[in-house]
Amino acid sequence: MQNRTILHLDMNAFFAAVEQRTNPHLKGKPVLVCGNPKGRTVIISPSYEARAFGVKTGMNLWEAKKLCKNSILVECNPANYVEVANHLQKLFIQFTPLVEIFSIDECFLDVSGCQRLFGSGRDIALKIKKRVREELDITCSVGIGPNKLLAKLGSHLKKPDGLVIIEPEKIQQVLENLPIQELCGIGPRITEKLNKLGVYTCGQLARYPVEILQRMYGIVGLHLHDIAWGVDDSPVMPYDYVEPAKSVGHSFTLPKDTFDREVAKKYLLQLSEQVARRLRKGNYKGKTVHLIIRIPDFTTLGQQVTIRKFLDEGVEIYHTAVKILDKFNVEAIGVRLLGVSVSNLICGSSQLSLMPEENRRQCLIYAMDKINDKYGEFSVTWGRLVSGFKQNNIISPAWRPHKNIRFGYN
Amino acid sequence: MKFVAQRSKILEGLLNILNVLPTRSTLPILSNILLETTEAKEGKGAGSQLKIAATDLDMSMMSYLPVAVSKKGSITIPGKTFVDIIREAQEGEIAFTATDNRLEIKLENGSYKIGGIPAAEFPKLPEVNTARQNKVSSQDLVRMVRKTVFAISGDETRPALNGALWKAEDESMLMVATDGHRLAKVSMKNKKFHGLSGSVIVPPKALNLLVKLIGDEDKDIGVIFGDNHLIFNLEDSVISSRLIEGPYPNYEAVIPKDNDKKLIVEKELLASTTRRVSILSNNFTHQIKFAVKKDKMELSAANTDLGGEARETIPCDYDGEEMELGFNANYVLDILKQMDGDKVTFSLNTPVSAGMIFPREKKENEEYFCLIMPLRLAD
Repeated sequence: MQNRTILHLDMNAFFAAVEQRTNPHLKGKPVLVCGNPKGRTVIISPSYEARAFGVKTGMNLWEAKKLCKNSILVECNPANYVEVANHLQKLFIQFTPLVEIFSIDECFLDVSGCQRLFGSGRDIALKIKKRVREELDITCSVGIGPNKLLAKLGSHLKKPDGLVIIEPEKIQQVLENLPIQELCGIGPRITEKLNKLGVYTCGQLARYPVEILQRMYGIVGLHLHDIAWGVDDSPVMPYDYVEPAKSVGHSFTLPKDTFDREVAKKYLLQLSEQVARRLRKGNYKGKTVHLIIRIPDFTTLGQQVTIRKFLDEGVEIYHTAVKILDKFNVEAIGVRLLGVSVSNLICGSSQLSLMPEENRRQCLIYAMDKINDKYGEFSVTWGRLVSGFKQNNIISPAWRPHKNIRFGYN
Repeated sequence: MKFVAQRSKILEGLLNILNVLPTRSTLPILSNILLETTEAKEGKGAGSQLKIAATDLDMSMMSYLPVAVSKKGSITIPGKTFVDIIREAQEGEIAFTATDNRLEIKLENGSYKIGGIPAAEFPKLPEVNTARQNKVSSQDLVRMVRKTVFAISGDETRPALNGALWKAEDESMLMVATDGHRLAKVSMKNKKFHGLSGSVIVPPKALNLLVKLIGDEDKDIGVIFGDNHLIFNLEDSVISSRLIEGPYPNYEAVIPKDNDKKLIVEKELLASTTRRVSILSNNFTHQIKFAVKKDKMELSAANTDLGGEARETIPCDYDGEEMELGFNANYVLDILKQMDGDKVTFSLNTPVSAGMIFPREKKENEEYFCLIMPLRLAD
């Protein structure tokens, strides 16, 4: 782990930039990429022109419109973003195989071993920036550092189109007065807790007794101490590395709040099918089913159930999820969002059953998967899901190019 | 209650009873062993004897030990503690006295006392009604159990599969077990089952205990098919087990009729190769691949976690088109272990349908085969 050179690349306003590239009329204009503008949705990606007016990711449409009256709403096109992301990955791996896709618009490159071929970290960053601009007509911010933590911090420090190098000898200087929440890994909760202890900057955190941090947070406490010193040994994983899943889940915001259990159950079936499908794609089965219900006042309720059998069939996951749903008084509390996830996973079972009924079901699901692989998700599905089927056209943070999972269902 | 017993005799009985004693129980009385003096059963020598019993409510066991009783009575005492004391005692005669819910054990150099619970609180054990009892050869029974018990399911979501189906009729008897992935069926005919008739689903615990107690001993044992109980009468001990409620799934329907490809292979060679290759199989699926050709078959496995793979080729005799099948290696090994003779025959159809396995050597009046469902190989 000595003398590494890590690049962090962050595509600037990625979705909006791709939209502006696809439709030149949008160039230089405040563009707001959102979900379905007719339904309820939030701003997923505002262009830099819109950000100038104070529009931020996650804002409501009306909030954004109020800030930026001339903004242009564009419904997101996940297929486009996936295409550009795939192109980017192909470009990056021409420099090094150690390309860790962090999310659809962010990745780490470990270029420690390829500097004789392509020059210093700075040279490589400039080459990549140039090619990204030329080939894809978008810009990115690059951070260069001796580890992932500092590389990510670097790209964060100057946006858009930045290039920040954090030299090993300047680490203390950069971190001393940096607010702790700027570091990747310190969220609002930890920030609030540390602020109460009088710790606001990384310098203060670095000097804070590690024993106390450890007592407060356990292993995380040690990690906090490390990152405050700019220490991060985590490797950049190769682009084709697939981390074994710990759980597989989907959530869905209903087009409008419902107080009808049957309506909620229908969405639950859809979510269960989506989860089951992804379990089977990864050759997983799981025995813990977790249901999340967000009610109209944004309170999130959830419960999980562990059963004896390992599941990978939508209907079985659905029945387990319904058992949890039945514990809540849907008619009284209402439902805004539903989420289903399955954890406690095992990998690799494709044992066929002797029992004719179960065997028929296995064959049926196998055939359905084949058809849906070829013609797209939900080409064949349960009758109950055919009418009024809705999908949320959003790419999840867990998106990875090599997982070969179709857009819109992550 | 007062009696004197030889340490080795009582210890032997107690160790058998320990198989039934629940290790953990919500009912304190179930951790206790019942000691009760009774009159000797019919046909046995005169004098009194000691009945010791334990139960976990699903299964119970009673053993009768010849002891010198000087005062009748009964008590229940914590089983494990009692066995520990007897186990550590020196060989010789031990005197037992129960008074006021305490048992005193007099050893050579001193005495031990343990508190008990009155025998009246012990669950009522099923009684042996010898009039309803039928005699079955212990070795026939043990053979049937050994050949099927491994396939019993542990999946509690399908209770009927948590036991072996035992069917007896006229002069024939059969036992079937399946967990939905493999199935074992053994049937015997032209045997004297002395009129045993009926169909029951027996939990594996009772069957395993029976095999353990009988071992290689060849004798007739009494069997009673009750409404919800099954009783094995082994002369000096009685096992009774709760039966599992049916119906047992229609296993006949899953026995393939159109398996037209035959694969004959050396049993020991296949077993040892499977064991070796499966070391590098996936820890959960234990998937092993059989690539069968006319005169040879390749066994292979891969474990991506270890970055390992294994491959071996062995001779075989196969009359169908070349095929690749995935199996759980453990299932294959369980089955091979029960096959008699030097060779086994696989009767196959497709890589996604059940394969049948027969022993090449057939025992007279016995039919035995196993079914194994493959693992679907990745495309």
